[in-house]
Amino acid sequence: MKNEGPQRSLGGFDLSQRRKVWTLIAVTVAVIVVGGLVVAFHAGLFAPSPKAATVRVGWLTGDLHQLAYFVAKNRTVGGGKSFFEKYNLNLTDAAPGGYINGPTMMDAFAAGKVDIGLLGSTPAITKHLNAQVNTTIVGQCNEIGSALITKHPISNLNDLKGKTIATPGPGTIQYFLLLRLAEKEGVGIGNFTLIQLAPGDMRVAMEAGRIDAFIAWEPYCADAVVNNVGVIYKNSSDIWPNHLCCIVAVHKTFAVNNPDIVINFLKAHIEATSWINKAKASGLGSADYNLLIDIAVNFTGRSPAVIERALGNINYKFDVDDRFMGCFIDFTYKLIQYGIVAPNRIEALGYRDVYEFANKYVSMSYLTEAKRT
Amino acid sequence: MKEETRRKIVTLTIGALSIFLFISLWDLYALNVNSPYLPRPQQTFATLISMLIHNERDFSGLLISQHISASLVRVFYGFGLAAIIAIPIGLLSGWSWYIETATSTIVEIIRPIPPFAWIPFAIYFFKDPMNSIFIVFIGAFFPILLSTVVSVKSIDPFIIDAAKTLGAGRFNLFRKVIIPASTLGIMTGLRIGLGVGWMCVVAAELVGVKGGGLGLYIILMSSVGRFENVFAGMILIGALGFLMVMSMTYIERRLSKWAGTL
Repeated sequence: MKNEGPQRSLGGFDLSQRRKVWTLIAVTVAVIVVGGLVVAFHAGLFAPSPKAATVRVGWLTGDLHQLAYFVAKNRTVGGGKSFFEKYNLNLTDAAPGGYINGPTMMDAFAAGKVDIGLLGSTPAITKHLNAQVNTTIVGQCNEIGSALITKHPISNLNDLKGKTIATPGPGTIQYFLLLRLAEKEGVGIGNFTLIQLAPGDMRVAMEAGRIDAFIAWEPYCADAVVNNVGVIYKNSSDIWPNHLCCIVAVHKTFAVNNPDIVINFLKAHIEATSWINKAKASGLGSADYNLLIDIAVNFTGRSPAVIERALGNINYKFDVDDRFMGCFIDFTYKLIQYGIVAPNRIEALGYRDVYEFANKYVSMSYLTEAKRT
Repeated sequence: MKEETRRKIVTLTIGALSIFLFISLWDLYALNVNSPYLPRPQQTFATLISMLIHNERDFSGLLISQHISASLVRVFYGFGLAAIIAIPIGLLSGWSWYIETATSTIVEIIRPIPPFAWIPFAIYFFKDPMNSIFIVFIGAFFPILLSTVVSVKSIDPFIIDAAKTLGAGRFNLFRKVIIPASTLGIMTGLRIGLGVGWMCVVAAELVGVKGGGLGLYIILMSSVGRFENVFAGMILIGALGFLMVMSMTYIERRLSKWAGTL
């Protein structure tokens, strides 16, 4: 009565025949699935979605470095018409709420979901070299503007050995700056537990005692300091003076097909950046300064006190000058040295050396045209 | 004996052919797509061999051997803990209607929640290494539990009646009949749980872990666009999972011989 099962009573021959039938079915299904995938691929099912009529702009969640984008969208700043409207640009956010970090946005570029993006320079360099993401850099957003925050004051990085440090993710400029700081202070990066957190969650994680330090973009560093959750160990300008930070990247195919849109976007970006710098200089109490704080508060969800402190740690700059290019080249060398960029990628992509890569990857023509007209 | 040898040869041949077919299709598709996001198999295997031979150190300062051992330890503890807790609960639930009624609703509510959803909870309530072990535990727990319950419930009632007729008390019945008779079902659950545990290791290592891990390695390499390394890491996870599941299958076969003698 024990369950020998009717299958066994069928005998070896039947079982073997049945197996053959099942094998045949499995192979047929596999062939159909694979064939279907190949057909679907050729039919364009997996191809990037067709370009929308509007320009899809990527930006990083709550990143104060990218304030110019929100200023350029603001109608009050432009006197009733935003800078983007002034230049007849019809924009949409590629990701509502923004991207969590630059590497993620570069993946979206690769998938054809972003036309123009504001992101850190290191992910733009790294993913272009390692994964051939077809982008080009056309302008700058800011210099400096990050910091390493610790829960308690420390005298050097050795004090954080064995501790947990949060970053916005490997491949971000903040992760890169942490590697640079560890190198400068002679501490192996393997001595820390590095975790990835959204910068907006870092203060809370530090308050809860889950992390001992974090490196992030503003205003999240100022947020921790103003709320007495952490202290600044190093501003990023102390780690790498005047370092390059966020840039304006464009999908290369989009740039080639729509040069006027790129130039107009840069015109709005230039006006917005200039307005930010004027508003900052006009100081507390001026209408423009108050409006600037309002825009930043709405975009980041942080208090005016936090924003005011954070703005002091950022240099807003749109130009691509010698300092930009020098830093860009130094960054690339360091990314190769740290093993973030795979060996021989410069040569594999047909660039003679890092200098040629820098000169070709950064397209000056759009910005030159935007500044001229 | 001859039939067994023939079957082994056929199994190996079909296995090798299916791997060959899979790699060929992968290569064909990668060639067609021509994107660094999907490297070709030869690039991937060259990277895999190089990183294993040279025990390469990545930019986070960790060696590949550290990543491998860290993941193994996490899977071992997460899976082990799941087995230790799920098997007794499963045996009791399968045996007692009251316990099953008390546990089944909550189990069915929690079971569909994907391990990823537990990450914020794990970060908040557990410290490293328990946070990542917890995610593996969650993944492995339910397959083991459910297989155990089903295996107990599917024991032939005649066997139980026979044991009772021969004077077996509740404890002896449980120890000498229920446990041995459900061993094979439990082993199947363990095998599935182990596979799911490996699937969860990437999620587990997202919570921030000390000492690396293959999931962390994949995330690191993916963030900087080194997709040959990403795929090499994926193959390593697959290979280690496969070896562990095969070991489990071997134990299962041994146990089935033992159970068959009961």
